[in-house]
Amino acid sequence: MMRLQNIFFFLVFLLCSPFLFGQVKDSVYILPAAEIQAFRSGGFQTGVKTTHIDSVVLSDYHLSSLSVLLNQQSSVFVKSYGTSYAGTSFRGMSAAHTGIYWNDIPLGSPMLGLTDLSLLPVSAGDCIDIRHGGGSAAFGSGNAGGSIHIDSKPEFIKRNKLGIQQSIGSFGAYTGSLYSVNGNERWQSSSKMIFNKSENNFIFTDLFSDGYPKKVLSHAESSRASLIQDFYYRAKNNQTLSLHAWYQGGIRNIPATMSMSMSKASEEEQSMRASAEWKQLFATSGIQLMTAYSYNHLLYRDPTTGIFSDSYYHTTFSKAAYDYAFDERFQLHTGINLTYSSAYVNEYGMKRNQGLVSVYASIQYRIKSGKFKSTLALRRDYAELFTCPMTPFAGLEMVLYKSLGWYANAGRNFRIPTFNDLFWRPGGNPSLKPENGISSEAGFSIDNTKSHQAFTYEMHASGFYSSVQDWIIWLPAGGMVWSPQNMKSVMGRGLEYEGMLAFQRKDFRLHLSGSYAFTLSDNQNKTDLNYGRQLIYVPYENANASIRLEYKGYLFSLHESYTGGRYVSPDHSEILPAYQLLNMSAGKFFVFGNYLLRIGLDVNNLCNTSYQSVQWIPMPGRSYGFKIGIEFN
Amino acid sequence: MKKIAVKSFAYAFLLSVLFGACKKVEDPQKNNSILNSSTFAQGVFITNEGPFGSGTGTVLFYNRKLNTVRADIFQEVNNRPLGNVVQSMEIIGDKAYIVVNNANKIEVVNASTFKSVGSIANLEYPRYILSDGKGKAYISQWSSPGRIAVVQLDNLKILKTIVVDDGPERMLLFGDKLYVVNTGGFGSENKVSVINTLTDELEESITTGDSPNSLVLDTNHKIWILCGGKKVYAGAPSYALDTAASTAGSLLMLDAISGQIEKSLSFSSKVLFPSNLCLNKEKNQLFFNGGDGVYAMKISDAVLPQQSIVNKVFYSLAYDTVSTYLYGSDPLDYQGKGEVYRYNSYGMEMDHFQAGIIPGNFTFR
Repeated sequence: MMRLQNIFFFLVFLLCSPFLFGQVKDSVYILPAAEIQAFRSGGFQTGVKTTHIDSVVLSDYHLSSLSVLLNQQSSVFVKSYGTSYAGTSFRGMSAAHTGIYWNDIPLGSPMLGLTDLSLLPVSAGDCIDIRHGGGSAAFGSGNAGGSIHIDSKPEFIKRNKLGIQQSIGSFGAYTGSLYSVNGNERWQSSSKMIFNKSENNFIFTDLFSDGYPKKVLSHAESSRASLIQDFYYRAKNNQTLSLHAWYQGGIRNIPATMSMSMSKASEEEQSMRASAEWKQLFATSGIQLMTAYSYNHLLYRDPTTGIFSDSYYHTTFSKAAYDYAFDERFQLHTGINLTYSSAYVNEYGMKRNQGLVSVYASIQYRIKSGKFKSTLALRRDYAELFTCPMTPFAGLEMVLYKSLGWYANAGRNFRIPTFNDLFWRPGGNPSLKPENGISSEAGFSIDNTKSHQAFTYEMHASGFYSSVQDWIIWLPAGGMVWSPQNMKSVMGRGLEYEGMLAFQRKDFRLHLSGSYAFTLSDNQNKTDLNYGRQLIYVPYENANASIRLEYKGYLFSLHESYTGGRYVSPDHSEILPAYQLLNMSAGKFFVFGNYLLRIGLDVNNLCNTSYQSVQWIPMPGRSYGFKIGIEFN
Repeated sequence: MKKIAVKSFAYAFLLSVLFGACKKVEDPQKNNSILNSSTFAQGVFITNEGPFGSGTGTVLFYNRKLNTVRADIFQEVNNRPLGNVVQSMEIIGDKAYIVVNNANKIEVVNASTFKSVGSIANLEYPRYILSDGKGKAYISQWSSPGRIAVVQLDNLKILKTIVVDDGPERMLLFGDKLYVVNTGGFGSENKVSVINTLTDELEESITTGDSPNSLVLDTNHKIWILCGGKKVYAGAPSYALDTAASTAGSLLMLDAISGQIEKSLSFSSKVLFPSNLCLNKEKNQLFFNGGDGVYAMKISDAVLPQQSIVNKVFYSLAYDTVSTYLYGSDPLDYQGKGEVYRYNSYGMEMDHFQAGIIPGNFTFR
């Protein structure tokens, strides 16, 4: 089985030199593409590698969480704590260095600086963009590794769609989703309701008992419900109003790791995000105004240690952006963001808040043919509690020959300390400085997807270099107290490769895709015992390969991922071995008039591989899922 | 010319003598030899807690005669790791009992071969184990409230639990009485619990200074109890130690027969936390971790020592009656391997070697 896996993996990789996920576009967007891009990143996206996951691939992951999707369909490495928290490690940086946004609303917690990917349903958006590399100039604090954007994309066509999807799977897993999309050329409304629960009582091998007995994981049940509403209105004079709201609540029990005997810990979370956005396009300019509010409440309980942590935070985020095209060559994008966060947990002693103002401007220059584009951008953030550095950015893109292009970028990044870093008692350090660093990248890309041929391909190959100074790390400060310091210095560099191949003819569609990342990320503190050593939990290599076949309504896909060995102690004395996971999916969809019926069977971890993503945390073996969905148009 | 030559030679000679005197014993080497029944007969077992969180602790064996170290003997012999936070180890009879605090168990191994023979499960954050010498053992647990579990050693069954105060730690047996210091766990306590081992009931609670953490029995049958003092931290923005609310450490001498505290010496600093009280072979000299160094004191001394014998701060300290050396553990960054230092009774460094992650407890044989 292992050999077959390796051969398959290698073949797909060889064949699928270029890659994009789900390239076939189902619809045409009436809003000009340039306008969308501009407001997405304000002209900061020239020379930046963005991998795009759109609706075709997302529909396969409709009932999954973002951690599963990113793990399988991107070169981003996801570190998973089994049934609970999952975080990204983008380009060797930590989870705090990846920004996650939903319709431009930042999802990160001002208390932790992280977002738990296992709590984000894929169906919260219609498409997902992964922006590789330093994005502080575009998005502000905490994007040194990259950023992930989950966006709802309206299609202004007349439609009334109602759908229901359900899946049941191993270990008592159930997910149900009810959704409705309605509208016409003027307005669109999308409503989604998702409920999932799981017992998570899978079998794992206990490596801490004599004879390595097999045990059933206990105290790992979870359940969650999400409600998402998007509303768009497009007026005649190129004005668009969008409203988004997302409410989510859930509870999960945290199981013990293999090195402990039992856990009675649990976590209850409720969150609410809402935004209102107004865009107005003119002949050569555009205005965007947006305001968003997010609220999160987390209750963590552990009766055995007596920990009862009740925390909440509110964040308001407002944005005003202006886009102006001087002529065909020069375009200006400028804007101002206002963020205000307040948070409270017992360990802060009192409610904490922080205001942040960001101003940014970028000039994009392009030659008439569009074969050369460049951007120069500058951003300055003003925070109540610290001095943030100025973050410049420069990027360029050049078409070398037909569909072969070259790009490069460089910029400065920063990350402000979190409320926990500053105010946690004991140990919080209010005199912390923001982390800062630089990132740079250069690469090639081949892309013929816009040519709408039967045979399309897309490939990116790039090398990156980044460094972060004053990285915040918690260190023992005497007694039992730990305190954060700006002590760490990290240098990351590596190579990334993504490829996609797609072929379509009549009823037959074939998709091959693969990615490979080689990352060196090490400790650059000359006085540290572990100077020059690779950071823990950053694999040197990780790779993915997928094959997806569609024929006359039948669907079959195979997906393989490879995660390289990772060090789990800073002095490299302990290693988690490399592992491969194989997932398979088969299904069929039927059309009866206005009804669309979809059935599918998933087998995850087909080879029943025993592996650890985080040391000593049990991971499930082979599992099955059966899903059925009906859509009415 | 001759005078200069003699002078330089004299200096060189002096320097080489000094260097020779300062030259340390060669640091221990890793031992990869095959295990046999006498491998662990004589040496030092050092328990290493392991990384905080979900990692595993280890037991290290240091052979004094051969000057060699075996880093992880439990894994070596039993092919599996111990579990999270290996707090301490105690040799009772022909078995060794390894307390795995966060895995709520005690692994029982043959003290000669280190082969696993069983385990005591269903504990609640066990810390230390001590036997009454008559087939029973007492385990201090950081349950809420603190409890002492009484276990039958031949069948490893828990007979009962005795409620004491929060954070019971080390214990001492004197006659039929078991003395337990209650540190307060995550809070603060000031009691020593006395348990009658014939009835397994709590007999009395002796009030001491704040945070009693270690105790020893001297040659005059007096029990010395070292207290760290209560440490309270202020709020925003400094989170500094609140010296008004905190208390200084103290050293008490208890007469076990009368139950009276005969001596009570207070430390001057409210900031430092004295701990790890230990006794020399003759049981007439005390050593302890003063919080800013290692101190020595005769049991006949009327006042606390002002000058430390070693300037280094250790996480844990113990006295080896076999080699007559003091062992101190330095966890370094608490994430990677720590170090163990050895000193003679005058505080002169003998050698040091690499141990496991957060070395915490020493068992000498």
